Amino acid sequence: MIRRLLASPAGAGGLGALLLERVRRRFLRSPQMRGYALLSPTLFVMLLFLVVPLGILFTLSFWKQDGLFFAPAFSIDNYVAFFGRIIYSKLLATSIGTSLCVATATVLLAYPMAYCLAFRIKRAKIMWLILITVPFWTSFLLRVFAWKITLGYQGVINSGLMTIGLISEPLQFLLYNRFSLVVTLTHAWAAFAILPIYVSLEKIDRSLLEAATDLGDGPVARFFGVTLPLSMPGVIAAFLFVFIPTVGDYVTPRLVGGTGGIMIGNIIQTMFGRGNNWPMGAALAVISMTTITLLVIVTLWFIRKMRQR
Amino acid sequence: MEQTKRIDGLIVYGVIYLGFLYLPILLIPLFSFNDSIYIAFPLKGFTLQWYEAMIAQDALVRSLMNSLKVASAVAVISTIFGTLAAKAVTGYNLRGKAPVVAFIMIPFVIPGIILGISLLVLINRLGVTPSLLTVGLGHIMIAIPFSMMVMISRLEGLDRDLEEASMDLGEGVWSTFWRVTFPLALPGIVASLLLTFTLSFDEFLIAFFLTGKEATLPIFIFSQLRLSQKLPNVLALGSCILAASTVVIAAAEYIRRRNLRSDRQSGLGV
Amino acid sequence: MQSKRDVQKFIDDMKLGRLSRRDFNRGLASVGLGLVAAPLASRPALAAAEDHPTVYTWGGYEVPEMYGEYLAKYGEAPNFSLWGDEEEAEAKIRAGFHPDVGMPCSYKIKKWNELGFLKPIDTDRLEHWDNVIDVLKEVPDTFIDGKRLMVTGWWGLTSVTFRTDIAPEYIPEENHTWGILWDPKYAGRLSMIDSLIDGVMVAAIYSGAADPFNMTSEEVAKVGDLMREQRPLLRFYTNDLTSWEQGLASGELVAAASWNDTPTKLIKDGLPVMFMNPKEGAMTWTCGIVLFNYVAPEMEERAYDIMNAYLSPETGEYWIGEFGMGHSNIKSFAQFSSEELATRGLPPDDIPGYISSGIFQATIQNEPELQAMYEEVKAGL
Repeated sequence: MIRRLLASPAGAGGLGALLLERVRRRFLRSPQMRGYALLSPTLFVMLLFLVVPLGILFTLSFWKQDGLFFAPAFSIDNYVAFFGRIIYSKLLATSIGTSLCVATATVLLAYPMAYCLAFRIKRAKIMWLILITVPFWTSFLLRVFAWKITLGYQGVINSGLMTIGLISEPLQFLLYNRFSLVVTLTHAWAAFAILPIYVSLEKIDRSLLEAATDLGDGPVARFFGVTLPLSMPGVIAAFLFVFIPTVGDYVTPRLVGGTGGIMIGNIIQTMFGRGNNWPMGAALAVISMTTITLLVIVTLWFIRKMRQR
Repeated sequence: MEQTKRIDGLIVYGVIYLGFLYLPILLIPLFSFNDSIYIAFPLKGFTLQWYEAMIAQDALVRSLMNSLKVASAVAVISTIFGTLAAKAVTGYNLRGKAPVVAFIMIPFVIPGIILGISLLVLINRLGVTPSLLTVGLGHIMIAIPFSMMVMISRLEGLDRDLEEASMDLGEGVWSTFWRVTFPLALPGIVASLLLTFTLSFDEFLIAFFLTGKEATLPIFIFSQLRLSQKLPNVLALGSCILAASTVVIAAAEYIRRRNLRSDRQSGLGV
Repeated sequence: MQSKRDVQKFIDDMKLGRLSRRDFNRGLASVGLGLVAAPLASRPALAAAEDHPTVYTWGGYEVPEMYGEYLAKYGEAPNFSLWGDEEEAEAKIRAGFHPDVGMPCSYKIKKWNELGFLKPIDTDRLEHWDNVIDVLKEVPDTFIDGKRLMVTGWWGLTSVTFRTDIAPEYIPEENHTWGILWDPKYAGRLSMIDSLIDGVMVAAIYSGAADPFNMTSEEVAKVGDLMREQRPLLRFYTNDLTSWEQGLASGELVAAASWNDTPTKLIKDGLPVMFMNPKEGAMTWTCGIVLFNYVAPEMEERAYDIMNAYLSPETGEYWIGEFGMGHSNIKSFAQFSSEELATRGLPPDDIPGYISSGIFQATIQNEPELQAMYEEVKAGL
């Protein structure tokens, strides 16, 4: 019957229309279907282009390097090797520590700015948003150089302090250490923290704030009782935006981190080059991804528990 | 009284923070006029030679254009994908939501070098030649998670009631989307466009692996590190980008104010 | 009640939203136009991509002055793909990127050959082969199993550049030593190059290893100890010359491991610096041109034309003049007066002797072991 219908072009069209209509009705009726329909383009792209890379990554991490080439036999040696050399766990820990510092500093500094944008600035908000993003359209490398001149030996800060006579010798501790690394990264990711926080602050229903005031809440109580909890999704997004990419960063540490400027990202990168051990690099990547993911999940779970209370 | 004082404090903070964002950046134009290949104090003398050299350096200008193309496309496409996904995640109580969101977030956690290498392996197997298109693809992969997160933080807990109200008032799905969801999502969309554009415009590693004969700006700039003579040209370019952005912002603001005066419409939704 | 208020808000939002949506659409349209216009603009480049080989190389090597002969012959430039770092370039080729001509340094050749990247070069097809300085034809590992795998194009020395005003005791020739980079007197004002070949090998030479490029485990351990001793004295490890040049220029650094173009540039800027000829030996680096295995037969002739262009005396002249580093074509030096060469740190009378005065960089035999050691030093272990 179906085959006969398909044989005639009109029939096929009729069946097509019928099917389409059914799908449409089904689609409109079930929120699940509608939700997944909306999700499907993104999911499709990700499935198409992510499954293979992930497969490569995991497979490779269980292989072994044999001279210049790979020995495609299953082994967990790379994962064992992670625990065999203290350098890996040490660098993973320092990377996570540094990234936590950077993410915390960035979010804390960005929140008042986002608040200012959402509640104080009444007109031309889009201009302000762009104004905050523009510095990041100059090259990353130029910004690093700019920080080097700011913090450097004969830099802006040192020259300034020497001119007003506060110091007689340039301060050395301003650059090429963890401090300068955190400062540079806090600057580099500023827009990525301000924008999501702003977006979630902007959606807060002003009447809720008025209601809180009517109920006699002072500004501080109102902020911690209403504004902050409602903007948490943005704060979390901002924190993750800064935290996760900085864990894997290896260029900034190399440029401003000085002799200690080495993070887990550097090791992963060298495994794919000079270290000539792609499987180990893949295993390190899997371990660092898993650690980050677990950290994030635990943190989110904790935050949810806190908010429920 | 206390009210005004607090407002002042915030605005002052905002100005200081903008100072933190801009002060190092403003050194770029300063040194682009400095007559030395070294970016160091003291300043040597005024020159325009870096600007001349920059204009003469075809590859530099071409890589800028490449980056603009890629970043604009990435911003638009990943924001569409991110918005749809965020809408699905926040608007419907989907079964299996958490794993799906986690899956979409993966590119964000993968180290760039690995995503770059494995995507190159993939496109190579598919017989696709590396080009700006593949760079765009790679950037879309990392930009979607950003866009989705921004949009989730905008849409979460916001739209259900309104959309239902709109549907109850007899609006169709499409018009509900266009007349309710979209305006509500707009601040998020603007933020997402800005973030994803910035992300792509400044991304080096993935672009490095996925590009063929055409360089994006970060690739070009990194490749110049080997020859310090060329660095000031990049400073000149950075200054031009700053200047052009400032002019565009100023012009847009000027037009907006004029429209405002003629339309008597106030308060941009964004 | 809640939803009633929301409907009110929704209507308000629509009023506001209409305006912003219009603006937004306008913005979208302009981006869209850009996207549509983009393929049109790049079409000539795409057409060219079909008939010219792709050269995979460092940034700065893609300027027309470098391949004048090719431009004259074909009226068009070859295609370029730029790398900033050979390691990443290598990873990219391994992952499936297939260029035709490349410009790595000598210590990469053995590995690239074993990885199957390289195609032997027929020197009979190189117009300028006879003018290539003889010692540069014998750079280790560029000629393997009777096959010519790299033709040296350019060379220079790795040694110490130091500020003569701050460290005058190192000025006399007999005091020239890599040891300045271990001098506690200048703690915090020294820098090393952040790589195995230009960094760890420097420590290896200073340690007195018999063959720095093929060390025993004991020698590696000794180098490791030297580098651990050195780390607290250093301002940074860096592999971009801009950082060390800037450091020397500002006085932040007293001495830095560097290439021989650094003193040239700094002296031109009026700074009191000197390039050492360390008693332990400087290092000679050589880089050049390779032919990739991926070159299509119909592209081969053009690939050779690219090599010829890069080896021409005109290119050499540009290279020496612009960058102050050596070129392999002996004729390219003829265009410069003795003083001009001297200001570039190149000895006018005995170029081959100068080249062989340094220790030639070669393939590092135990690269992974050294890499692991170096990482631990840097991580402070």
